[in-house]
Amino acid sequence: MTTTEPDFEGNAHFYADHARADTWVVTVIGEVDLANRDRFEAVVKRALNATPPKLVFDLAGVRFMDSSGLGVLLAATHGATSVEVRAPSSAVRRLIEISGLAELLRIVE
Amino acid sequence: MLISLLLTAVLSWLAYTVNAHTEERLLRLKVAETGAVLQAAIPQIQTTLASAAEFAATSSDPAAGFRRYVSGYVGDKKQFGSASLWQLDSASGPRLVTVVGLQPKLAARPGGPGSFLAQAATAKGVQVLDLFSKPARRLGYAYSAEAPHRTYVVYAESVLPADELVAVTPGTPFSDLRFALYLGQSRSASALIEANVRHLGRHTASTTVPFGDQSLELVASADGALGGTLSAVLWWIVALAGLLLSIAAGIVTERLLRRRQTAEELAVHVQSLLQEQRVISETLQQAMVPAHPPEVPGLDIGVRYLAGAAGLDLGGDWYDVIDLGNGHTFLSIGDVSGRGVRAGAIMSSLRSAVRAFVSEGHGPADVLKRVAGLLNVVSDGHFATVLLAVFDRRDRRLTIACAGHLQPLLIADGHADYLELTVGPPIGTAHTPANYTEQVIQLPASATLLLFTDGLVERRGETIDDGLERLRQAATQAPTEIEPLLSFVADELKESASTTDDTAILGVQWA
Repeated sequence: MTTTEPDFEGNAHFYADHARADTWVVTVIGEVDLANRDRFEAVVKRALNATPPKLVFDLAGVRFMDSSGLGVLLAATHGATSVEVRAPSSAVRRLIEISGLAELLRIVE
Repeated sequence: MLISLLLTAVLSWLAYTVNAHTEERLLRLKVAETGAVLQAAIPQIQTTLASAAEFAATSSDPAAGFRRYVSGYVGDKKQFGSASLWQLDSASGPRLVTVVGLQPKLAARPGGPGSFLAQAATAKGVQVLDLFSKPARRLGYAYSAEAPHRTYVVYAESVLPADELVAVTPGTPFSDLRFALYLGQSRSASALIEANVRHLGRHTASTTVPFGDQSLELVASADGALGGTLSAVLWWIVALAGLLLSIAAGIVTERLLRRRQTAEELAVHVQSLLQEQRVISETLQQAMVPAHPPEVPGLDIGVRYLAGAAGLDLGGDWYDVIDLGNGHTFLSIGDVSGRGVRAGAIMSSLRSAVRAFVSEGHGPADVLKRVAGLLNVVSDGHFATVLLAVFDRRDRRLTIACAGHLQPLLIADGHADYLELTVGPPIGTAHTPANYTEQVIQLPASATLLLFTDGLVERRGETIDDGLERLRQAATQAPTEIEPLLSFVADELKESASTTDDTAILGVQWA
């Protein structure tokens, strides 16, 4: 299992695990907003370089995510064969639901 | 810098003054000490002379008695160079009885020894006589024996250095002094007994010592520093160290000042750039999102654009009102994710595209479907939530479609409730051409419809439902009229704001 260089800075941590042959798990902890969406995007892009993976976002540790973070998740759906959002916090879950994105970002428990 | 230099000057002056005072004090002490030594010389001379006189007077052979006693004190390097015994005879004047050592210069004195010796015979104590004429400079002392031996006068002469200069033995009271010893108080060259230098230093001290019937004047200056070298050079050290410290402090201060000046200049520059950018942002924002909505008959419309805490970048929020005529009003509100010029540009083009499609007669869902292809989250990095509606004032029917946007709040009869909408995906996110559901909702006769972007309700540490509930509560407590209502809601919710997100609010009221 490979792990990308973790990005532990500021109020959010991002890292990607090559969990299985075709699956990368991107784990996010903290608050995702305009200030760190570029770092989030960079970690996701590193995972997407493996062609073409299934992408699982582990968002259990995300306390807050704004539309900037949501944009990274949405962009990822275009580069991966499938995208799952695993165990999102209620804040993220509601954001996904209320934004009409439940179909694009499939939530799994 | 000036202060530290001043301080240095004061300190070194103090050190100098203290040293000078110390030196002066030491010099005075030294001179007094030396004076005391000199003062002790007279009793010693007197004792010697008196003893010699006694010996002469009481001896059967006065000359032999005198010689025997005095010989120990006369000679080269001894107390006297010459000692002589004189017998006074009122008739023929003083008669030389015997001489030990050199011939007394007194005898060769113009006018002879008579008057001086006669004077000595009547006086008490030692009489001192200056015989300073060169060569053979001498100092004479006369002493007459006590009664009943007053007929004898003992006379002695000290040999003085030929050129007044004497070498001083180290360790003696004179050793670290430059001195000049005068007979009497005149300090004239003719009164000079001896000195160890030709010229004294600038600072002198003097003492007057009784010397027989006369007095000695000792004038001295320090030969070098009496208080030691450190004491003397201390003020130099203080001055030098202070000067160096002052210069160092000056350099540091100057650098700091210059650095601060540069920083201040930069800060002013940055401030002006920020101001410039703020003005540009505000101008663009106002151009893209008009601060004043159009007048629509039968509707009270109010808008708010609340800049986020960042305040610098362009926000991606917009609202728009288009009067379609015939009582139809087109409402649009949207939010492009992110901030900055790019988000602003996307917002502007989306808003314009919506206007264009609306002017062609397309309905809300149709417009959303058409603009959906204009934006792609992968290539643009942004997506947008958009809410479009057409309100028919005449029958109060609202035709509405939603692309991932927050549902509007309907306020009527003291109640506030969110419209239940079918939400389609935000613009720019769908993989396949999205379909948006158009809903038609019958609204009450008198109500307010509040459209807003997520900045109003989105807070860290809570779900968006909490924010939505807060807005709902605020709306029920708000004044009824549109402007006070918007102000109240904006104040209530911005108070708890923790995001830097911009917020757009569009309120439409009818009665």
